Formats: sequence, structure tokens, C-alpha cells
Amino acid sequence: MSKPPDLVQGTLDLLLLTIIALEPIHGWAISQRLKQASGEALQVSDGSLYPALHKLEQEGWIRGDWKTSANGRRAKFYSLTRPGRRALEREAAEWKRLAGAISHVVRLIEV
Amino acid sequence: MPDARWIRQLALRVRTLLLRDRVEQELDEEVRFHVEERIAAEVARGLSPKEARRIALLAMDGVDQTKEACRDTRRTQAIEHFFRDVRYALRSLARSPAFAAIAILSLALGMGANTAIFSIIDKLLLESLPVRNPRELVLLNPAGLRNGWTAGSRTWSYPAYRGLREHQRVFGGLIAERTDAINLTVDGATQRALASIVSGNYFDVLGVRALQGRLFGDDDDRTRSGHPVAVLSHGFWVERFGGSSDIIGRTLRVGGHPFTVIGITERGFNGLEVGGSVDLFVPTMMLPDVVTYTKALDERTAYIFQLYGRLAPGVGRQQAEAQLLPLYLAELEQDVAAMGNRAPAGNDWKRGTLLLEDGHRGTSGLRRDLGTPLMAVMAMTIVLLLTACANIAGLQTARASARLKEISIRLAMGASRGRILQQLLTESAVIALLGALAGLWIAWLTIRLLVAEMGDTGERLRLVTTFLDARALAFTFVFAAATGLAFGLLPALFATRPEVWPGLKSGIVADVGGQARLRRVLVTAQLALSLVLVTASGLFGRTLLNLRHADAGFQTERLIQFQLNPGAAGYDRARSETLLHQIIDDLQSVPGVGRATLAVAPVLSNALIGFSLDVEGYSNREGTRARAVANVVAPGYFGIVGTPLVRGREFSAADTARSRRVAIVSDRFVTRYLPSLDPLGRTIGLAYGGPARFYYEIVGVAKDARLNNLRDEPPPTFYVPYTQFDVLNSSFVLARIQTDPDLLRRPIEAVVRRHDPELPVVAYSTVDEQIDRLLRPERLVASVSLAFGLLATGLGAMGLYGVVAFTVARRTREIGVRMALGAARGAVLRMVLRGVAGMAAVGICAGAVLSLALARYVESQLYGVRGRDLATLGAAAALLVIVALASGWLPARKASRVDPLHALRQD
Repeated sequence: MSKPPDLVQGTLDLLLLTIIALEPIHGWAISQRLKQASGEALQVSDGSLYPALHKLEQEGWIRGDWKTSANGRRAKFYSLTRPGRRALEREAAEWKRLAGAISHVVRLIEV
Repeated sequence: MPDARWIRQLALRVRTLLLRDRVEQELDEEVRFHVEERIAAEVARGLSPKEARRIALLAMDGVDQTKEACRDTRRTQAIEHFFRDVRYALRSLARSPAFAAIAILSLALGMGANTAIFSIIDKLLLESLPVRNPRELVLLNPAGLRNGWTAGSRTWSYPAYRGLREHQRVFGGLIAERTDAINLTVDGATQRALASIVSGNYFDVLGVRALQGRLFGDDDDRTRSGHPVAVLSHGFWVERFGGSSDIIGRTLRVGGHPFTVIGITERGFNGLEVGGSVDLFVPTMMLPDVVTYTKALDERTAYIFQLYGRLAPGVGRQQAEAQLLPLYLAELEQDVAAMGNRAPAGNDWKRGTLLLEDGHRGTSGLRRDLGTPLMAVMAMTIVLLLTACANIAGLQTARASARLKEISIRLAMGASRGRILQQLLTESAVIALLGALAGLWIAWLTIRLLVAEMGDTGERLRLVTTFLDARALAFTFVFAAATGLAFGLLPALFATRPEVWPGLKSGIVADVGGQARLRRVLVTAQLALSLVLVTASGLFGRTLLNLRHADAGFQTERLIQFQLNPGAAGYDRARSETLLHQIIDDLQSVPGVGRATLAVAPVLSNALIGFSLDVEGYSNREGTRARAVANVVAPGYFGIVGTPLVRGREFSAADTARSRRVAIVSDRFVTRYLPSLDPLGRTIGLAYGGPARFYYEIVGVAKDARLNNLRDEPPPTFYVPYTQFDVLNSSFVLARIQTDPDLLRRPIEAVVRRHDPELPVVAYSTVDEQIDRLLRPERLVASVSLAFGLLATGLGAMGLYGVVAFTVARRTREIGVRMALGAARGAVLRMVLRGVAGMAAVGICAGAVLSLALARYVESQLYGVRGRDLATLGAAAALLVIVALASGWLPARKASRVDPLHALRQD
């Protein structure tokens, strides 16, 4: 029932892991951070964000803890687990390899 | 925090399952937090709160859908759905308790009874002995002609065993075994026990290990009377000595001789007789001490051992037979040589053959006695299982059709087909599971009932049936559950097919007429199977009655019998005779005991001894000799048991060992062997299978009597006085009594103890009790068939009621129209009952055909009534018609009271 994210398959996971790796952060802040960091280029609907987060949590890569947010409300803060950090490194390396290969191909066409 | 991913994942899942509400609440809070933050952010950007809220919810793609997508990531969904379905199934079963109860009960009965009976049959008839590689074991059967005296078939002399064992090259090992009832004295108390007298290599060849101490080997079986050692069976050790290990090294007395206990066999091994529990094992060299055939180990014609061989690897049975035959013939030749002037004249004995029979199941008297009755019971149990399944099928069909509407609504509400099927499956599974649990209980109950019902036979049965058979349980479970599933699910599968949705949605409920037809077929089948069971119970019941009232040829009332076994207590022939004579003399002075006599073979115990005979005046045709059974009795026997003499005289005190040998023959003996001759004064020669050794003159003719059992026609019989028979190890005392047999037991035991305190009174019982024991298999079959017949009929009646009530409900409108048009109530009643009668007629005809077809399989079990007995069949059919009409009556009456106006306003 979850809608396919408007992103290359698997990249949403990488983005989320990267953002969470910086500091423990709740879902609303993640959506804000995504928007800012990508200069609004990446559209991730709120409806796709939460299933993706829950999937990462079920995978054991991130964990959720209830803490008080900046405005004093209780919120679920996600942080990276040790397997999550390893997964992030793996995914990031894979992404770089893929991105490098793709830009290489694209450059060939441009010439 | 644990690092491993799987631990974290597991913890999450457990948390999701156990703290479901909390997890849901957190999900809700998390999403709400986001939505509210977003609203706040949009409002901060200047939107109206209403517009902000709209945008926030839109971005969430529908709060409920997103939450569901989050739940979908949990991987506990299947489990949660399952539990929800189980809860739902239990609730819906609780809403229709009658359906639930009948379905579960049908399943439980079918499963329970089948599991119980199959468990017994499997252990008794099919299971291998608990020894190493039982399939390699063969039982040596010296088939064909043989000489010397025979103490039963498949038996060998000890010298022949030694000869075969020494020269054979086909077995990994050859063992000799015989089992005797012996007197066992422990701490001054004497009891009867079962001893296996076995060759030294017995445990080694069988691969039986010691639980404690050690088992004996060939080195403990070398010198005559030189190895007074005994091994106790595990069962006896636990039962008699409470499993205490200080028994090892203690001394017991067997037949008056001291034996040292050296070990306990491993658990589960009770000797080679299935259902006979051997108490202790002693080496063959100790045979003369244990029983009193002092020459038994040397006599070439004392055929007293069973021989089991373990085929050597790679040796086939036929190959082994071929290699053993010359060895066997050589042994036979020595037998004949040893017989001297009693040896047979011709060369017939050279035609002896040797068969190697399957030995992996051992031998079993219990198997012989109960095998056929148990198979009959098994057959009836299967019929019961079929009726139970038909019943479940009918119920499920009814239920499924009643739920079509519910299913159509749920489909319309967007439930997926898979989920609905999954739910119906769960409900069937819940019924099956509850039925299985109840079935286990019923199986356990059935076995206990059977064991109790079978008395001392049951004790032996208990030994073989300690556990329910898992395969039978699994099989009946799968069978019954699949029936329920198929009939519960098929209509649902049909109803949820996409192409019928529109029909369902528009309220046209699917083919109800088809459902009703299926249910009528099922009920008719139930009636047919019920008729088979009721007819069977009629036949078996009449058999039991006929046997009870069969003329035994002697008076069974107030007659007691018990065994004395002076031979096992160390008495020789002459002392045994004196002792027995004195005891019956003394017994007659006990108040309440009338006259007493002796009979070596007890009455109604299938214990008469078979002989081949030379009868003067009867010429033996080639290869056939006169055959008769015999009992060895004391003077006064005929008067006391009440078998009248038709000619000649009784035995008297004047017939002694030194006087002329005399015999009394039965009527049938005369008609068979001396039809046109005067029997008195003619001689018969007792042959013991070989040439006649002892000649007796016929001095009387007695009426025929059923001394072996009540069922068989009495065979040609003769009697000889105990003073003139060459073996007298043990004898039964028969006494006609005038008072309560239980009150007499102590005074009688006191008389015996006065003569010898170590001589136990064995198998004390009235002859009427013996008849009860004798007829136990018949009673078992009769009561099982009666119980099953009633159960099946009851289930059939319920099924019939259900289908008629269903049809009437469906036809309310039609009935209303008929009545509005002037049909009388009586006519409506008749119309409904005609339908019932139709089903009953078809069911009964089918059942009758089935009963008649199956009749020949029960013929051998019947007595005084034929398998195709039309009176019994007719009575059973009449009973079923009454039951059918009675169960159709209630719904029919309801139909006849339909109010036309009310009925027409329906829908």
C-alpha cells in the first residue's frame, strides 16, 4: 500500500540514514532537513517517509527513542545503530560507485 | 544495548505482539506529531489553520493509509491476523454452540476410536519386537510329517537345537527359547511367574542390553544344573521389586531351587511373546531345576523349544531354508533311530520340510485370540469415522451456505478474498484442533475401557498398548480435518470467485438448492452406514446370546476350577498323584464344597490335548490317522461335571497304574470312528504323533461336551484316568459347590497349604466366570458395535433433523401458498415426512446392500445366526425408519403450523 517514493529505488534509505547519522532526530525534522539539504529538489511525501523509517527500524539499522523535542513535546527520535552505521557506509560506497559510473556515461553522451 | 541485528529485530517483534496497544499508540502519536508540526509550520507561513490542516493531511497521503503502510513493515502481520482469526473463530463458534459441539464431538469420536483401536492393532499385530534389527529374525518351523511327541507346532528338541546350531552356516546366531509358568519364592512368599528358559546366546543374538547388572551368555549355559542365575525383565523388576537396585545378587527360589539375580533387561523387552510378559530368564541348562521334565534336555523326541535364527548378512530366507533342510533331515533321522522299536515303519518322515517364518513380530497367543475380533472392531471404527466425516461435511455445508450472505457483505466492504479464505480456514482448523484434543481424550478413554473390559486378557493388552499410535492419530486427524476443511471451504471458494461477486452483491444468494441436495446425499449416506453398524450390532449381540445359552454338554453352574502344579514345586509323578488324590479327598470335607475331581485340562479354556490314535476297528487311510482330543480325569468326573454316560461305566478307584488301562470316549468319537461297531471292549492306541505307545480299552461312552469352548462343535473326545497317564505335572481341581465361591476360596487354600505351604492355588475361578472370560472377544465386538451403531444413528438423526429443518425453512413461502390454496395441515405434514421417508428408504436400501455385501466378512465371527440374517437386517431397518421419522417429525410439524398470511408476507 506504500506509495513508491519519487526517488531511485534505495536512495531514500541512503538519504534517511545519512540524515539520522548526524544526530538523533525525529520524523518531522527529517522531512525538513531533506527539503533543505536537497534544495527542494527531492520530493519525499510525508506519507512515504514514515513507512520508510519504520522499515529501517525493523531492519535494525535505526532505533527510535521517545524524547522531548525543541518545543517541549514528546517525539520519537531516531538514531543510528551500529549495524545501521555499517549499512550506511556500504550504501554510500555503493551510491558513489553507481553515481560515478552514471556521470561517466552521461559525460560520454554529452561529448 | 545488544548489537546483533537479529536480537534487535526479535525484540521489536515481541514488543509489537505483546505491547500491541502501546505500539499502536506510539505510531498514532508519531504521525500526529508530524501533522501538527506541519500545520503549525504552514500557519506560521500565513495560511489559515483550515488550509494548513488540509495541506498537512494531503502530504501524509491519508493518515490511516500511512499508518497501515507502517504496520505492513512490521512482519508480525501474519501472526496478528492469525490471532485475530482465531479469536474471531472462537467467537463465531461460541455463537453457534450446537454446531461447534456436534462438529467437535463427531471429529473426536471418529478420531479417538480409530486411534485407540489402531494403536492396539499396531502394537499387537504389526509392530516388531524391541530387539536389534528385528527383520533379520526368523522362526524355524519344522513343517510336514514328524515323529515323537509334539508339545505344539514349531517346536524342537534340545539335541536337535544343538545339532542345528553347531552345523548351520546361515545364521548370525540361533537361539532356543521356551516359556513356563513356574513357582517363584521371594522371602518365603510363593507366587506364579512366567520364566523364559533360553539358550545362553539369547540376549547376545537378540541384541538386548542390561539395564543393571549383567545378562547371561553362552558361558552361563554349559553345565547341567550348574548355572543358577536369573535375569529379571524390566517390567517384573519394577512391578515386584519397585525398581530397587539391591535386588542384584539376591537369591530367589524358582521351583524350589535357589537362583541368583544377576541383572535386569533393558526397558521394553518382555521376551518374544507379544502381550505375554516374561518375568525372568534362566539358561537352558537349568531347565531340569525349573520344571521337572528331568530328561527334557536329552530326549530327542521332547519337542519343547522354539528356535529363532538371525539371518547372516546377505543370506536370503530361501537360500537358508535350502541349506538347513539336510541338517534338519539328519536330525530327524537321529530322532527315528532313537525311537528304537517305536520307530515308524515307512520312510514317510523323510518328507519333512523346514520353513523359515517371519520372526520379527515374535509369537503371540493374544494376537491369535484377539486378532480377528480386533479387525472386526477396526472395520466398524472406520465406518464410524466415515459417518462422523459425513456428519461434519453436512454441518459445514449448512454453515457455509448460511454464511454466504456474510461473506458477500465482507467482499463488498473490500475484504480481500485471501483474507476471507484464511479466516474460514482458521475456523476449520480451530474445530479440527479442538476435535483432536477431545479425540485424544476419547482415545485414551477407549483404550482404558477396552483394557478393563478384557480382564486378565486386558492386563496383557495393557502391556502392549502403553502409548497411542502417533501415525494413527495423525492419519485420522488429517482425514477428519480435511473433510471439515473441504466442505467448509469449497462453498466459500465458490462464493468468493470474482465472477459471482456481482450476484452476491445484488443479494441473489448462490445455489442454495445445490447445498440442500448435497446435504440430503450426506444424510442418506449417514443412514446407510448407520444401518450397517446397527445390523452388525444385532448380529454380534445375537451371537453373544446364542453362545451364552449354548448347551455345553455339562452343567456350568456352581462349578469351580483351580490349578495345582506339584510338578513345578518339585514333585515327581508318584508324589504328585498321591498329593492330588489326598487334596481332593480333603476338599470334599470342606463345608460348602460338594464333590471334587481332577481334570488335567481345565474346561472352556481351549486346553484339551490333541492326539493321533490307532483305533481298533477303524482302518487308517493313507496318511490320515484317527485324531481326537483328550482329557485326563479322576474318578467321579462325569457325575460331578454333569456329562452323562450313555453306555458302559465311569472310572473308579480300581483303575490304577497297575490295572488294565481304560478309556471313555465321546458320542462323536463313536460316530466318527466306530460307526457300526460296538465300541465297548475295543482298544485305542495313543500315538503321540508316532507309533502307538499306550493302549487303552474303551469301557464307556459319554455324551458330547463342549470342553474347549462354546463355539466349536465338540471334536471326537476321549478320557483316561489320571492314574494311567504317563505325565502328571499339574492338574485342575473341579468341584461342585453349594455356596458363594468367594467364601470358599480361603478354606480351599487352607486345605492345600496344609499339604504343602509352597503350593499355590492358581487360577481359582467359577466356570461361569470362565465363560465370561471365554466370551470376552465376542462381548467386546458386540458392545463396540452396539455403541457405534447408536452413535452413528444419533449423528444421522441430528443430520436428518438439520436438513429437514433447513428445507422447511426454505420452503416456508411455498408451504404458505399451498395452505392458502387449501392444503390441510395433515397434507403438509405428510408432504414433509414423505421427503424424510424418501431419504430413509434410499439410505436403508443402500445400507442393506452394503450389509449384505459385507456379511461374508463377519460370518466366521458369528454363532447361531447367519451373516445375511434378514430378521436382524429388518429389525435394524425398522429401527432406523422410526429414528428417521422421529427426527423429521419436529420440523414437519413446524411446517404444518405455518401461518399462510405470515409466510406470504415474507421477503
